[in-house]
Order: sequence, then structure tokens, then C-alpha cells
Amino acid sequence: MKTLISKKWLVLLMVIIGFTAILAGCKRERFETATTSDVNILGYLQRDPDSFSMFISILEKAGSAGTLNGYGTYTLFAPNNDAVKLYLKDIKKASVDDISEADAKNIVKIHLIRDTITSDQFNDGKLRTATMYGQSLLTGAQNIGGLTTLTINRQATVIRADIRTGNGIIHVIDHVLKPATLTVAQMIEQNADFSIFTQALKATTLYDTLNVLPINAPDSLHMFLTVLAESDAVLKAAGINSYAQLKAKYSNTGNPASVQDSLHLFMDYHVLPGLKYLPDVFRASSHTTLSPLDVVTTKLIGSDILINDDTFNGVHEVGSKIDRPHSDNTTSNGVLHFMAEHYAIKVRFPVPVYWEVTDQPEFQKLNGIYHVTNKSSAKFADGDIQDIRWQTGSVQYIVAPEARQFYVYHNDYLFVAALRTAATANSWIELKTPLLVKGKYKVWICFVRRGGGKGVSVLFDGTLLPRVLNLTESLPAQVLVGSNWTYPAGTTPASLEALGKKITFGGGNVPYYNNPAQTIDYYRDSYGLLAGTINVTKTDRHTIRLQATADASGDIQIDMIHFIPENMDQLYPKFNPDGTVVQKP
Amino acid sequence: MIDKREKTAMNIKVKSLIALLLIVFSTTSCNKYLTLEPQDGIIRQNFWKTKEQLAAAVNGCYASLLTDPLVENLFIWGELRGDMLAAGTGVKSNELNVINVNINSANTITDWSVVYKTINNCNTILDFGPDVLKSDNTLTQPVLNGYLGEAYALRALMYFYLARTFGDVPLKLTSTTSDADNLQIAKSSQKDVFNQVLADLKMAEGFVLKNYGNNDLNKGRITYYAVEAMLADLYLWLDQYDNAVKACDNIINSGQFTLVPGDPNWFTTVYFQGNSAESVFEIQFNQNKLNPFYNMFAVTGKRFKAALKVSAEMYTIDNINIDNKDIRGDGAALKFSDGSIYKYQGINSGSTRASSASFAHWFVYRYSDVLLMKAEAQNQLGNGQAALDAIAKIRLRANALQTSEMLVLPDDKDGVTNYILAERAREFAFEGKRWFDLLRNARRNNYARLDLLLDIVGTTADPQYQQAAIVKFRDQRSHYLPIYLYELQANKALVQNPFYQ
Repeated sequence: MKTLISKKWLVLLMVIIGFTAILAGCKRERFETATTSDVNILGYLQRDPDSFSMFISILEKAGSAGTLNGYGTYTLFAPNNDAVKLYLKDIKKASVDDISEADAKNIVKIHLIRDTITSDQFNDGKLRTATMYGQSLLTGAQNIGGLTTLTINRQATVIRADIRTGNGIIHVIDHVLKPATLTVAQMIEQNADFSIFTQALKATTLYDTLNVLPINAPDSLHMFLTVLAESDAVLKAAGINSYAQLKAKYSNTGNPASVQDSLHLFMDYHVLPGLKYLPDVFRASSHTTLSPLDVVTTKLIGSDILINDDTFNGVHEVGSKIDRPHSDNTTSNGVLHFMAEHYAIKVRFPVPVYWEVTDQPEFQKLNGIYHVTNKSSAKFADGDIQDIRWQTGSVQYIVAPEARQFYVYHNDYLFVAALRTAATANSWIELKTPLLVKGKYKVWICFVRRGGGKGVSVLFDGTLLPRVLNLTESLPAQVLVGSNWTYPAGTTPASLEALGKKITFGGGNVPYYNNPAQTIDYYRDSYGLLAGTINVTKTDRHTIRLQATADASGDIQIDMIHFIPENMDQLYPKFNPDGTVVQKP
Repeated sequence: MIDKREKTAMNIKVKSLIALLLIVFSTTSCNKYLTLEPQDGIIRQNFWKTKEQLAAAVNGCYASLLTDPLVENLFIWGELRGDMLAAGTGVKSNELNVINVNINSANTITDWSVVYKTINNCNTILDFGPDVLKSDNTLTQPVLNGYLGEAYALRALMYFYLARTFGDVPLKLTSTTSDADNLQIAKSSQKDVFNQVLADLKMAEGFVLKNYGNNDLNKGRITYYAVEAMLADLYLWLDQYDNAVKACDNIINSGQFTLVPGDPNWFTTVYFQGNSAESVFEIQFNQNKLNPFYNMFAVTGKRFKAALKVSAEMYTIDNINIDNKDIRGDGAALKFSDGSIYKYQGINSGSTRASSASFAHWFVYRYSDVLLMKAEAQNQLGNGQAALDAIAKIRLRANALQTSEMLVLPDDKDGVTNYILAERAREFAFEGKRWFDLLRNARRNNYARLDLLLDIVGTTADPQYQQAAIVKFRDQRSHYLPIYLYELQANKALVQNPFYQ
């Protein structure tokens, strides 16, 4: 009995154990949830010794292998074994062991960037971060036989891009990258096509300036320099066949080594401080040069990059093209571009600029609105217009309706919703001027009187002008004399000018809006206010800023800004709603 | 001692205890595992029984076309790489990368999964629909065929979009209904996919109805005419121009379609109300399922605007009489005043839809498309005059301005092609056709007109990417999008388009 009972319990126990096992079996299965066994850069390379064993050897020699296995954010351009073999053949070494430690370090540095850069950030110029060697890498694309590949430094093509590892990104390349060793000066000198330019560089001592490595540069401004060089052929096309002719044409003192000499300035004018690849050249509209008072302006038209393509004093001056395919040459101390056409400093005398502020490409493209009566654009937000910036709110392009004219040039004006000091409202607007030649100018803000802008300071390139403008004030009311609405008694153009005010329209047959049979040459709510005198030290486009200093609600409406040399007549010409310009009688 | 009887009784007790435990355990804890049928749904074996169920499944196919982001994808695939779209302030970085021809496989616009969902719906109907005939005597063969035809045509339409966008894609022609299905399918070449599309459309051509007895159904479901329009489009891609003309003629000669007159009601009729007399097939958004366009085009931080050249160079303007307009331009396709895309937002040129009423249809084919497809085929066949006549007809209806007219001789094949493309741009602005139009014409005759694509980036890409973009477009492989990263990880049989490796 006892044995039986114990047997019975044993069976029961077994059954329970059995069911427990089954129960356990019914539980949801557990899977490995980690989907990746991410490695770091070095780990990735080590997993594929067929491709990267030689580059790993270089890393080890340089002592960088540990770095690439540690924490960080790197971008590595990894040359595969074929690439390293080509490189060894190139430098006539039998194996990686023959490369010195210093050389290995340099090789690693030029392939490594302390930043994570994926291939969708490759553009037509340099990468956003320089390599650890100090030089920037140049990206681009090339098409051979219908197949397009991405290129690095024009030395290697990308075989596989965007391999993401734990501490950075790898791009596999088919050639070892070589840092530029020549200076800009040396690179120009070695190119036989640039003999005249080289001679001029040497004669002006600029050669020495361009032959300094960044490490020895006198100041940070001159660490890197960008040169726009002109080949013999380009100079020939401009009628200059030899250095003697170049000197004869440009040197005024006969001593090009002198910084005052105009040949020296001509050469200075071809050197831009800083490291400027082509996208950097055309993305800014102007660049300073080593010639202290002169800038070059740049423009991208289609895919042509033009130097000094300006509209000046109403005349379009055709610019000079850069030889785009051959430019963007990295050197050890800068970038070398080649010009396809000759350019020189333009000697200019101050001319008045009567700037209609609505003369913006964004407005001109408003088909059916630009210069069309009674139309207005949608509201623009800051950032929509390249050359006008403001703090907050909106601006609009407006053409006045026929029934309510403001006597503004072309009938159109820039509408700014607010210009006041209240914390949440727009308190400034900044406009980029057209090209101004160095000289002294009086600045006139021409506008339609509205409720806003009770106190406005004007700043030119950040310098405060003396007068604070009140854009909310009306002049004395106009009076009807015969069939012409004109200045009231006691108010004359001269008396207004003495107060820093002027009427910007008139001088002809401007119809009075309430009665087109009558004319008008003075209107109390459309006029110009003198902001002060500015000294333009560089021929360039500058910025002018209107800054609110008082709080008054309402909008402001700007028609034009006049920059008139101080010794010239300030009252004429007049600019009329129908687009006519009336010169001084 | 226990006797034998007692022993047996004990045995029975033990056995019954075991049995009891077995029942208790098996019914409670293993519940999920052993119950085969869901309690809150219907399973396949119970579903394909009646013709009503079949009809519901086909409706489901159409409904899946409304699933986000399918139509958004169709818009982006067809417009973003073209030259009529510009980035708004709300643009996503992925979209900017496409504009700058900087696409990689992590770019989410390459996610095709929603399209394959619709394909799977079609496949399910094609696999199980024929069985309904056995269980439902009221279902006749012609009615079944009609449903199958719709599934064939929708599947063809989806593959047609995929093949034009990605080139080579995996061709899945059976439904995914069990875990045993092999989902690791390699790509088929674009040519094979096109051939499959052709075979499907040919099946559909013989099956689908010409008339569902109701205008909304005739425009919202695949009719014979919709199939012919797809065939015409496909034949243009296959360079079979005679067939394209025939397919177009099957629509034109039916007399079922006309151009809606270009009067002030034109926009409201065609785009706001939809399903107009010139509509061939439209994806029917409605009050319950809004289209994705309000957030793309109408809000303050718009993702897309019209490119500047659309107003200035495509529709142009009459400077003498400002009110003389191409009816398709200002106040129709876009608003000239702020460059916003208006086609899906307007009620008429003045008033705008509310966000809750953003259910403008997606216009897959319109009658003007048929006329211009025929023109394209005729031009390729050497009948340039017929093509110019068709263009003139479209222009007359639209009150196209003289400034957008091109003077082309009928025997100038490239010139007529340019004119057709320009007219198609005006007629189908933002209807998801521009890139496909340019690509189709560029690739013809071994990429004789590659210039059509190279000209795009000059006006669209950011200047700093422009040069690389042009060089990339010189590589034909770059004209097709890469396969999305996650697809590559999930399906090891897929091989990435080598351009993107």
C-alpha cells in the first residue's frame, strides 16, 4: 500500500511537472531584439581585410587605429587596397612598411574629418569641415561613359558612400588622397600658360605674399588666399601680349613693387583673402580684395560665374567669366581659379544712385503684379527676399490704385506692416543697396506718410546717421494755383531743403488724382527726408537699416532711397508715378 | 493490501484527473495558440462566399488608393524632380535633397510600401475572387470578370507608377496571405514590369465595363476607357505609337468625353466638383477622407510652391490686357500673386476651400491628356500636323496666350515634342505628370533628348549643387529612385540600383 501510494503521488507529481513544462511552452517566444552588431570605423575595416588591410596598416603606423576605434564623430575616406597599391607605385615604395611614420600620419589626416558628413552634403565645392590635415576636401561629380560617380578632390571617386558605423561615416574611395603641397604662387609659376601673370606677381612682390604657408602667415586674414589668375591667352585677348605691355598699361609710377602703384593694385585686385571655392565665390555678391578700397562683385547666371557684372548708373556692364571647369584648384595656402576673361579695377567717380527699393528680383518676377495698377503681392516673410531683411511680421509689394495715387515713382512702394519699438512688433528693416562708388553721399528716404515710423534712426553699414526721422508728419497742405496744386505760401523747395525735406515728384504734368484735368507738383504726404551724409569707403553694395526709436502703430510705405553725392544738386531729377524722370530744367 | 478492483478504481481516478487537468490547462492557458479563428473578424475561408463580399473587396482596393501617403507619393514622384515645383518654407530636408539631385536610399520619398499594399489587395481579389463563382450561384462569369478586370487594371496602374519611378522593381503577382509566402523577391527589369502591366491591361480591357450606370462610378471606377488611357500612356513608354493612337481613338471615337468649355465655370467644374465630362479616371477623395494637399500647399509653412518660371515663362501674361488670361494659369493651377499651388485648393479663382473641405480628387487621366498623348504618338509617327492641330484645340479651349505660342513646323519633330511638353505642362500642372513627361521624351531613341532633363536643374537645384546635379543626370541610372533602405534590409533578394551604391 505504502509503495503504491508513493507511486501514485509520483505519477501525480510527474503529471504536474509535465503540465508545467507544457505551460512554459505556451509562453510567447523570445527573440533577440538587437538587430545590429554595430562596429566602429576600425572594426568595419577589419571585417573586410580583402579591401582595407593595407589602409589599416597605414592607420597602425600612424598610431591612429585606436582613435578610430573609440568614441567620436568622424568621416573617413577609406582608400581600398587597390588604391593603396596605386599610391605605393606612385611614390615608388614596395610596401606600406616603407612609408615613414610622419608620412603615414599625414595620409591619415587628409582622409579624416572630425564631423559626420553624408554624401547628400557633397556639393560643387568644399566640404563644410576641413580635414584634420587642415586642407578642405573638394567634392564633385564626373561622368565617364554615361556613368556618374562622385569625386573627392578630383583625385578619387567614391566606390561606396555612407557606410554608417558606431563612431562615424565611411566613404570608400579608389585612390589615396594627396594633400596639396604647392603654394598658390608656386602653382601659378609652374603653369607655363601663366608666364605674364607670374612675372607680374614677382614684380609686385605679391609672389612672396602668395608663397607663405598658413602656419607662417602674419595674421589670420592672410592664412588662406584665393587667386583669380589670368592666363597669357586671356591677357592676349585683352590686347596684352607681354609683361612689358601689362606694365605699360597699368603701372602709373613705374615701380610695381610700391603698394601705391596701380599695377600693384591691379594684381591685388585678383587676390581675395580667405579660402573661397567657387560656390563661396558666387554665394556672396561681393568680395574684398587685397586692393584696399576695391571689391569684386560676383554673380551666377545660368551656370556662368561672372566677375564685376554690374548695372551702374543705369548702364549694364558685362562681367568677366571664370573658367569654371579648370578652377577650384586646392593649394597648400589657398585656392586658385582661372579667369576666362580679363578684368581690372574700374576707375569710378561717385554718381548719384536713385534707388527704387521695390527694384528687387523677387518683386520683378511677380507676373501680373509688378508695375500693374491696383495690384499687391502676397505678404512676404523675412527670408523670402534676398536683399531685404526685417525682424518680424511681413512686407508687401504694392502698386497704388488708380483712384488713390500717392505720387510715388512707378506708382509702387514697399509696404512694411510695422516699424515701432513695441516688444512683439517689427522694429527694424535692413536693405542691401545697389553698388555705391566710394565717396560722400547725402541719403534721402522717400516715402508716403502713414501712421508708423514715428521715430526712425538710419544706420549705414552699422553707423548711425545723425538725424532721427519722423515718417508720420504731414507737410503744410498743398494749394491750388490755377489748375496746379502746388507749394503753399511760405514753403519753397529751397526752404524745405533747408529743413532736410524734398518733394520727389513733379516738374511736369503729374495729374491730380481727384481731378485729372488738374496737375500737381507738391503733395504733403509724399516726400523725402534727409537722413544724413555717409562716407562710402569701398565701392560695393552696402546695407542700410531703418531702426525704430519710437512707438507708433501703423505701417510705413517706402518709395525710394536716394544716394546723391554731397556736392551735387539734391532736388532733381524728379520721379513721377507714370515712370517718367524729369531732369532739372 | 488493496485488491485489484480498488487498484483499477484508483487508476481510473488518476486517469480522469489527468484528463481533467489536461482539459483545464489546454482550454485556459493555451487559448491563443489553439483557437484558430479570430473572434472579432472574418477569416478568408469564410469570406469569399458571396458576390457582395467580392464587391466589397474591390471597393477596398479603391479605398486603399486613398491611404496616405499613396497620392502624396504619386504627386512627389511625378513633380518633385521636375521643374515646376519650388520649395516652400515648410519643405522637408529629404525633399530638398531630391530637388538638389542628392538622393540616397535613406530618403523617405523612396518608400513604396503603400503602393504594394494596394497591389496586394488586387492580388487577393485575383487569387480568391474566382472561387466565389462556386459558392454564389447569382454571380455570373461576366460580372466576376468585371471585378477581376478592375483589379488587373489597378494593379497595372500601380506597377506602371513603380516602374516609371524606380525602374526595376520586384514583381509580386500573387497575394500575400500566409506566413509561408516567399517575400524575398528579386527585382524584375523595367521592361518585364512594363510587359506585365501590358498583360494586365490587356486582361482588363476585355473584362471591365464601359458604363456603371452612374457618372460618379464611371469616373471613380476603372472603366474600359480608363484602361485604354493607361494603355495609350504605356504604349508611349514602349515606343509603340500605332497602338497608342489606336488606344486613344478607342476613347475619342466613343463620344463619351468632351473638353469642358473654357468659360468662367471651367475650373469649378473640372477641379472643384470633379468627375466632369472630360474626366476619365479620378481618385475620389471625399468628406470622410481628405487629400494630403492642404498641408502641402495651403498652410502658412507650405512645403511646395510653384516655381517662378511657371507663371512667367509657362503661362505668361498679356501685358496689354491684364484680364486676358490663360484659364489654366492664375487662379487655377496657381496663384500668380504668391506662387501658391491652387489647383487642389480653389472653389473658383476667387474663393478657397476650407481645410475641412480639402477633398479635391486626384486626376489620373483627363480627356485632354488623351488628345495630347495621341498627339505625341502621331508626332513620332511623322504626322506633326495632326499633333499641332491637337495642341491648337487644347490651347483654344484654354484661351492660351499668344505669348506662350510656339511657331513650329510640322516636320520639326523635336520642335513639336517641345511644344507638346510645354502644353502638357500648362494643361496638367501639378497633376503629377511633369517628371514622367520629361523622362519619357528624354529616354526615347536611346536618350536622344537627354537635354530635357539636364535643363531641369539649372532652374531648380541650389547653385552650390547645380554642377554635380547636371553630371548626375547624365547617368541614366540616376533617373530612377533608389530602393528604400528598410526594403533592402527586409528583402535580401533586392539589389540596389548601382547608381546609389
